[in-house]
Amino acid sequence: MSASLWVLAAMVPAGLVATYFWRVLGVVAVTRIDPESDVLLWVRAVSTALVAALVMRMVIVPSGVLADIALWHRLAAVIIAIAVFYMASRSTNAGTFAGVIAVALLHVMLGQG
Amino acid sequence: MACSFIGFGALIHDTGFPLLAGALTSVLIWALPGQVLFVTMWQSGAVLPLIAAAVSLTAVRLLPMTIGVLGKVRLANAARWPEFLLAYFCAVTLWVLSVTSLSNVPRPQQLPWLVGLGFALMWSMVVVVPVGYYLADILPPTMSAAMVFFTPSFFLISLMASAKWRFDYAAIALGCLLYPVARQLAPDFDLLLAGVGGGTLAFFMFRPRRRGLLK
Repeated sequence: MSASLWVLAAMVPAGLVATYFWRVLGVVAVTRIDPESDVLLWVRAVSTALVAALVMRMVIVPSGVLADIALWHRLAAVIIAIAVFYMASRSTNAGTFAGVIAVALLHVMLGQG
Repeated sequence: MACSFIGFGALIHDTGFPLLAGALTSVLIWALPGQVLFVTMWQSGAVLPLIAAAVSLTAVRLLPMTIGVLGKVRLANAARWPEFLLAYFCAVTLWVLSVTSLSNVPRPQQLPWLVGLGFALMWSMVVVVPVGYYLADILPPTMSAAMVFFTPSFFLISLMASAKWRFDYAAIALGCLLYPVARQLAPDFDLLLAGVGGGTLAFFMFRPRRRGLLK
């Protein structure tokens, strides 16, 4: 419980303030700032790359049960997810679930290979 | 949406993050990439300012989303404080709903309608996260692993789906490719290095010329 409280206290500046800042800027910007200015597009690129890196971190260095699935199975599942996404005419659901099913099937069928 | 928060619950279980704090990330952060980033960086022992910087950078996409939602529902001469309240709930799901289901709601009631919806969604997710947490506990390991895998799979596909400019695709590719390098170079700054480096590189390599894609 005390661990929870400590994390929650940390989450106010590093979570609430860090995210609500951009929403407030949105409220202000709706009458003033151009959302497609160079600075904001650059920040968008950084944000995109950061989430992509986060995906890679979860895939390459997972923490618990996912670590029992071979690395190349995890990477193959990512590629399958992207392939199905495009084959299913850019369906987010199809792509996402293809990745989830692929990682389980590869593990069950091919074991630790 | 519920699926992604069940996956998040499984992820919390997997990393050993406290459940109560994990469930409340939905209230304090309310944007799943930021929530996942907070949990993974916290568990790897990153210092708070770095976590704050990284979480904040993932939340940048909330800016155009907030503008998109408010642009639809705000009234020119009304008080502005309800807009700040609505902004607190703005994230991708509310943005999608504002595009798809506002036509049945009379214009002056649209803003309060979305606030109510956002509030309901947020607290539903606070309940759904523990469901994922306990499912991960009782399901066989392969199924729990697949549940945890939902999050990266969903994030990557969502990035592809929301990419509009060439630099978006370049940022996805460079973020992925630079991550292993960044991890070797600076394990404590891996995400920020790959994100800021990859994003900046992508932006200047494919400098956007066409505008008006966000509307």
